[in-house]
Amino acid sequence: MAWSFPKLTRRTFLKGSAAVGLSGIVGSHIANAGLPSLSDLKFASKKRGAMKEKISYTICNFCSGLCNVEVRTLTDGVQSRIVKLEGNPVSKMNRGRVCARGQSGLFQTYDTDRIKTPLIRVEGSKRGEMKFRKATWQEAYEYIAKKSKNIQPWEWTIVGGWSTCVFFLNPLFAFAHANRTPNFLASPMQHCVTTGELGTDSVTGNFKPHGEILPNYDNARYILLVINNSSIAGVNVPRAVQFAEAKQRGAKVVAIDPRVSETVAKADEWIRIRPGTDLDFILAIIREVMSKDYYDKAFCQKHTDLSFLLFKDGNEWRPMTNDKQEPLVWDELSKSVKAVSAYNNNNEFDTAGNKISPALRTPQDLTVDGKVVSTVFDAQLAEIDHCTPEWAEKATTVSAETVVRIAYEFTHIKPAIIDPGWMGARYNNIQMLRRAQATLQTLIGGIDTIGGWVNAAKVHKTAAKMHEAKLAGKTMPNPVTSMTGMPGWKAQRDFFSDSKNWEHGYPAWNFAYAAQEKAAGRPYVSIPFMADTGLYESVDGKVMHEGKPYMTKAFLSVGANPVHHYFPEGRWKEMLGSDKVDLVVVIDVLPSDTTAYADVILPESTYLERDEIIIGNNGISPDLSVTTRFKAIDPLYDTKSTTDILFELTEAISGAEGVERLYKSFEIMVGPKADKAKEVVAKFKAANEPAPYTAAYRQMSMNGMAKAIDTTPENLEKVLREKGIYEIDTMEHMLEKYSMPRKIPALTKSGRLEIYSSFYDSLRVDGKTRAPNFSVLATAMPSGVHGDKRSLETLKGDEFYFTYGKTPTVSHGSTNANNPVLHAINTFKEDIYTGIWINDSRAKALGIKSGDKLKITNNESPNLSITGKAYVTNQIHPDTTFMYSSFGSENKGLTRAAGFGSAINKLIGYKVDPVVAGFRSQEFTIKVEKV
Amino acid sequence: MARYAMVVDLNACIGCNACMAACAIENQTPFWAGKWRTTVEDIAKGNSEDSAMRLFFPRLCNHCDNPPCVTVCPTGATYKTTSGIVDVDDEVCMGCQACVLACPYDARYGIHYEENTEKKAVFGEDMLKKTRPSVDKCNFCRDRVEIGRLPACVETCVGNSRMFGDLDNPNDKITKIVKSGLAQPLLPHLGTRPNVYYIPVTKQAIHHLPDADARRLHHGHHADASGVVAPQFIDLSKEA
Amino acid sequence: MTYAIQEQWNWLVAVYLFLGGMGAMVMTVSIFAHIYKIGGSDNSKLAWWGNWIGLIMLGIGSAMLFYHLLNHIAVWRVLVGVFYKPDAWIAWGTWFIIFAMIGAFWYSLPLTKNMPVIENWGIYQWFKGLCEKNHTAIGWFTAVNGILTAVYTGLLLQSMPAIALWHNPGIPVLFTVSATSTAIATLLIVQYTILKNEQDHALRHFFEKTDAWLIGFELVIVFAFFHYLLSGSEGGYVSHDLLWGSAGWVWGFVVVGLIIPFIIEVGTLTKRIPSGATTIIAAASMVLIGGYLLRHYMLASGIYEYPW
Ligand SMILES: Nc1nc2c(c(=O)[nH]1)N[C@H]1C(S)=C(S)[C@@H](COP(=O)(O)OP(=O)(O)OC[C@H]3O[C@@H](n4cnc5c(=O)[nH]c(N)nc54)[C@H](O)[C@@H]3O)O[C@H]1N2
Ligand SMILES: Nc1nc2c(c(=O)[nH]1)N[C@H]1C(S)=C(S)[C@@H](COP(=O)(O)OP(=O)(O)OC[C@H]3O[C@@H](n4cnc5c(=O)[nH]c(N)nc54)[C@H](O)[C@@H]3O)O[C@H]1N2
Ligand code: SF4
Ligand code: SF4
Ligand code: SF4
Ligand code: SF4
Ligand code: SF4
Ligand SMILES: [Mo]
Repeated sequence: MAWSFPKLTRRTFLKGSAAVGLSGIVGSHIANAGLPSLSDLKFASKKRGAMKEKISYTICNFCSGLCNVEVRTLTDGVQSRIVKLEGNPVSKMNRGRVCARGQSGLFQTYDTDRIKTPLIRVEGSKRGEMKFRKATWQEAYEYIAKKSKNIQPWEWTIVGGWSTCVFFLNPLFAFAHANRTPNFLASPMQHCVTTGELGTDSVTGNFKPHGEILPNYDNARYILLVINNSSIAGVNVPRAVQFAEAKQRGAKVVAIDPRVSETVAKADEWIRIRPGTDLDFILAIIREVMSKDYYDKAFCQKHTDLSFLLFKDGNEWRPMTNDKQEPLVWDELSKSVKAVSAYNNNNEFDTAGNKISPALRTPQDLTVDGKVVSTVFDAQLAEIDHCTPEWAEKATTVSAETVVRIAYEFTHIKPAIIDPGWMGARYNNIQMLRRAQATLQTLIGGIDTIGGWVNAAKVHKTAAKMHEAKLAGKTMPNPVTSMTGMPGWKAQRDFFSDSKNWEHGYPAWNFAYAAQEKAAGRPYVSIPFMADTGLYESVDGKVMHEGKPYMTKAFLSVGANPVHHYFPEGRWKEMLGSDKVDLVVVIDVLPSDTTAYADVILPESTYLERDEIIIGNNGISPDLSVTTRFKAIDPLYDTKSTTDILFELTEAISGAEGVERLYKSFEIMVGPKADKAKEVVAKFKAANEPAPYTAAYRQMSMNGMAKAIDTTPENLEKVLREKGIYEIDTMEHMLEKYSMPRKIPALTKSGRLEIYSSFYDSLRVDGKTRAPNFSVLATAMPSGVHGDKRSLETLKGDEFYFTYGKTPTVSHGSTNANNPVLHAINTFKEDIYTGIWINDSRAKALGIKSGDKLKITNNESPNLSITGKAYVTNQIHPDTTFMYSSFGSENKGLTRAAGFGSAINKLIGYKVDPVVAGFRSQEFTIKVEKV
Repeated sequence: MARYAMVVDLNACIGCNACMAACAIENQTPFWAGKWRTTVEDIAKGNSEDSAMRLFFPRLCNHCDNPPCVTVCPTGATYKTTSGIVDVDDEVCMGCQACVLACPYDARYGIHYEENTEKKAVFGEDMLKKTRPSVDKCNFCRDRVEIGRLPACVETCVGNSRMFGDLDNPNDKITKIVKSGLAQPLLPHLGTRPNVYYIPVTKQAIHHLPDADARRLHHGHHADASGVVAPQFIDLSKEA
Repeated sequence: MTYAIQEQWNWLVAVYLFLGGMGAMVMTVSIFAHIYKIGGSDNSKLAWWGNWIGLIMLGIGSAMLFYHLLNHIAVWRVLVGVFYKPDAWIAWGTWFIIFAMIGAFWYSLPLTKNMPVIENWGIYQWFKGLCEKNHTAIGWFTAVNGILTAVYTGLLLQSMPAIALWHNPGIPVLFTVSATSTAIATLLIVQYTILKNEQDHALRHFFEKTDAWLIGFELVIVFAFFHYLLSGSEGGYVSHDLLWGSAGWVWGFVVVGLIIPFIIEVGTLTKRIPSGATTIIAAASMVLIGGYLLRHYMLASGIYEYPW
């Protein structure tokens, strides 16, 4: 019926354009009626009422929010179907809510695009062509066994995504250990966790991937947000629910962002900043707070290192200590220099046990041992003394008065929170920015306190154990997995970076590469732990270790999608597609862009089909409780759980001997005793359990956890089955006992919050600061967009900064963009979600209107460019464009997501920071053209 | 019996779209065809740099007390229950769509044969709540509400923006909000008497400045239900 | 504010409204012409044709609506609707149409010379006699239902409160006048093409005169609409912009469908334009085109103003 009838769809048209008349809109689509086909007339019978409802509990797998989920399944005894997910109502984290992604989770399980059997790349096809044949698990393992014969253990690289990191980090460590593979790449590290959080954690000591802190917005009256969106309202439910309640209770929210994000939309005040200049803004605030004495003096004296004395050694600050390496302070009471203990949570007493009042400001002309000294406070203030509000205004485009006002508000409306921030990976100065934010929060005493930053209960628990051990002069058993915070992270990286831990003598290639570059006098990365620096070179044969080439020949990607998540994508396509690489194994649930580059794809069961082996702490929660996943239905297809896959893969790669080692490694890193485990696995195998390893470790974990929390496994399991969460202790209690550093030392070297950073101190080379990144005090540094120059100029013509951020309805660039419900929402908001945001006045000058097709090109690497449709808006800073970072998947197997929107990692080049190889993904300007 | 109603706090809606997903899954709407019982509009407000605003506007059936959709329905498929819920019986509806046109709030849509058939595959044939092509709309999750649960969108509302209750109950939180006049219905002049109320956006315009008289109050302005008032920053230092 | 055009009722419904209103009035006018022997002629042939054409028009129109339904097999619900949904116009309208069609059929029986097949059946003869005996009553029954049908097509649109363009008493008036005018145009075409009866000259003249009046009246209503929409509501204003920004409405409906036929008819009536079959058929055809375009654009310009 080709008759066209004038109609407008639900799309808006405004009055001005109405005069175009109907002639302009004739011809959209035909009559929306039709005659039914025979099958259309076979209406379903209403059987639903006869079905029984079953409720089970799990943990959301769509982002690191780790919300507690209640699953409703209908069953008639023969078939079961999950019909609805909701937030677990007893959860103190997500409080009965889940976001759009959490709601839609069941459609991942029922997505017909899923990988339903193991797949082997068709002989003769190239990686990337996505030509696969169905295979049995047996065939797949045989294929891997055959291929891996010529691959040395260190020539394997394991890539893990965030969910792998949360649920399988320790099992994967064990897997790596058993298979003698030191190479680990975690997609949430250099994109996310290390880049930003490390800065925060250098002050607080609490490094724990995926956020050890859940700021207590509930009780805050003032909330300041810097480069935050999906970490809060855009959306991370545990934070968003608290944030929303805070708002409803009248907290004032100020958000700093170049565009009106979902979070800015909820703020009382939008600070429209020029991209990359946030550090200038925060430093100016710190300067205001310090110079005008707006800080919490008592807290700073007692629980920070701000009173510690420093001296100048040439250009470098050094701690002034006594010969026992104990920090010295100026005691205002006795008017003398006193030593405080090197590791403690407070400075109330000197080492002799006298009550002291350590001065924050340096007494005039104080010298110790003939050296002019200065308190950390004064040194820090001097370091940023030039960072005046007027100085900040020049780069940020935010008025000096605003800086002055916010500094005042932040310190006078109590309690206040400056959110620690989440995703870093944007600029060279992000780590410094997060550090500055932690400094600011420290100055108001807002660390580990109601209405401030609150550490996760698990961090508290572990920190307390570590503290006890330290007091007793003991080391923690199995340090790689039993510790937390900066010390835990150090143990992990030492394990993988030290060739002594590996019988073959190869450390991880990223460390080998760093050593090689350092030796050659080239720029190198200090702690490339779990970062990709050197990977490209090792694939290419350019990494040498002790005179021998260090090659990467095989990849195992577990729940990661580097082709879509690393920058730039071309690099990964090149590496995975390389002839020098012999084997690529990908474990996934859906045909991600990375699976296209696999030789073998192993399908995992979705989270709703899995009993997880971890019975663990409940998310990033300040309340102490235990949770796990219960499967709601049996796997729909021929899929397995990661634990089983890891054991079977080990057998394929390292033989029976490897499996033997894996049991041992599990004992060390996961817990259950090897002998017992073998027994239980055998039992489940005999009973024909389809996932014997998972079942066995699950059972043992349940027993182990029950013991740890003083209950019976039966009771623990019963409570978890009935409520999803086993509650142990509240945030308030945790803080009363373990607030760091009010009650126990922080996880820093000194036990105090450190403004003079012992962490960056340890990274200085030969007593010299390599770059401002390593400064022992918070200091000013540019974003890197204009090299070593600040961003002072207004960009003109067709030049813009490039910013991006996550979408409320998609995780990262994940395959959940293919989820039918989420895809439908994304389609509903397509103009905003996939558009290239561009400022209206700039767009006008360039003749660009909403919907126009644009090409944007990376000015630093003009071979990188993408196209998209303009979204012209006044909700963005004139100097910048913005794109949501979730779209542009390519794999046609993702029938909905493929080709929807553009991928940011086609535009972003390769650039990493010198500390942890954090991505500097916004450090370029772009050219905008209408095409 | 009851007069169920919803209050939507526009200050709290974070535009997460969880309600859209929750509703579509709970009520099995043909979302793939762009058909939702509730949507969250993403609206640009403000014409100047300083007033630029983004407003998230959740919308759904208003369960009008004088519902034109019920008036026009020739089959009686659309009806109002004694608890105030306006519902559609898919077995009775013939799909003339007069009600779709009569509704001033764009709350209704037709489900066509193909969509009705597709539903079987998407949601599972035996799990379907409605089985026929017909007009569909929000029914305040009647089956949930009748067993004492909250509507799906309310239960999951991440921003705590959607509040559900009974206006016949004077102690209900939403009764108090509605009585206070803080929340307003949409298009009241049409005489539809809606039971969905909106709390307009207010930005805190209390700004503190160093050395100025600590707290000087300047109340934010309320806009009409759909609107938002641009944040007004009052520089106390410049005031006389 | 968001403005959106309704998209549910498309051209199928426009055809329904057009054929429904016109068909019903074709019956009505032809019955009146027959009962009251307007113009002094017998007019029974015209009544036969009028009733059958009306019947077919209503049939096609209803089929369009039926086809447009989401669930065809539930259509019977509309018939029982009047019993418990007496406020819904569609339920009534459906009955008006059904009654008008039945009435038209009955009315046509006595005018039918040779009904195929059943002509000699006793029961048919008996029934035909019954119809003949009550012919005037049946005529009135049909005519009343016809008029109600025509009015109903307007009331239907009027019952949508959010559409300023529709939700006003002007619509039923406009639709009724247009239905009558197009019905007369149809009958004129029948007279000039099929009947070619020299005897009914006076009737034709009467039709032409009436039609001219009706079109004139319609022009006044349309002009009034133009002004009504200009202020009062934003949605009305946008409808106004849409209507008067569309070539189909301005040139198709207003110029070709109203002004030109008006000029021609007034011209022929005042003998400034030579009257003749071609002229009248041309004018009548234009009225018919205009009649459809009126419904088409009225539906297409149904504007909602949503408060978000
Ligand atoms: N383009 C782009 N890149 C980004 C980001 C971005 O926003 N855009 N964000 C960055 C950040 S902050 C982070 S933390 C990282 C996150 O990066 P990842 O941790 O890699 O992120 P995901 O997309 O959640 O998951 C990756 C893969 O896991 C698969 N998967 C999902 N569920 C399961 C499961 O149950 N089992 C298995 N085996 N696989 C599963 C998905 O199909 C997907 O292919 O990405 C970073 N990179
Ligand atoms: N919906 C959703 N939520 C998630 C996730 C997800 O994938 N999807 N993943 C979780 C994970 S792993 C992470 S890491 C967090 C990430 O959460 P966030 O760290 O909050 O990351 P984004 O939302 O990507 O970006 C935040 C904001 O930064 C702004 N921005 C960009 N450049 C600049 C700048 O130079 N200055 C300032 N001031 N602002 C800038 C962007 O406009 C954007 O609004 O989210 C978590 N929550
Ligand atoms: S925030 Fe959303 S996606 Fe993330 S865990 Fe919670 S429900 Fe899942
Ligand atoms: S579409 Fe159904 S519910 Fe709506 S008016 Fe027609 S019969 Fe009634
Ligand atoms: S909002 Fe629309 S569908 Fe809902 S009761 Fe009112 S008129 Fe009917
Ligand atoms: S009340 Fe129920 S049906 Fe209505 S919008 Fe909310 S979830 Fe959908
Ligand atoms: S769930 Fe609540 S906060 Fe989220 S979009 Fe819907 S109404 Fe807004
Ligand atoms: Mo992340």
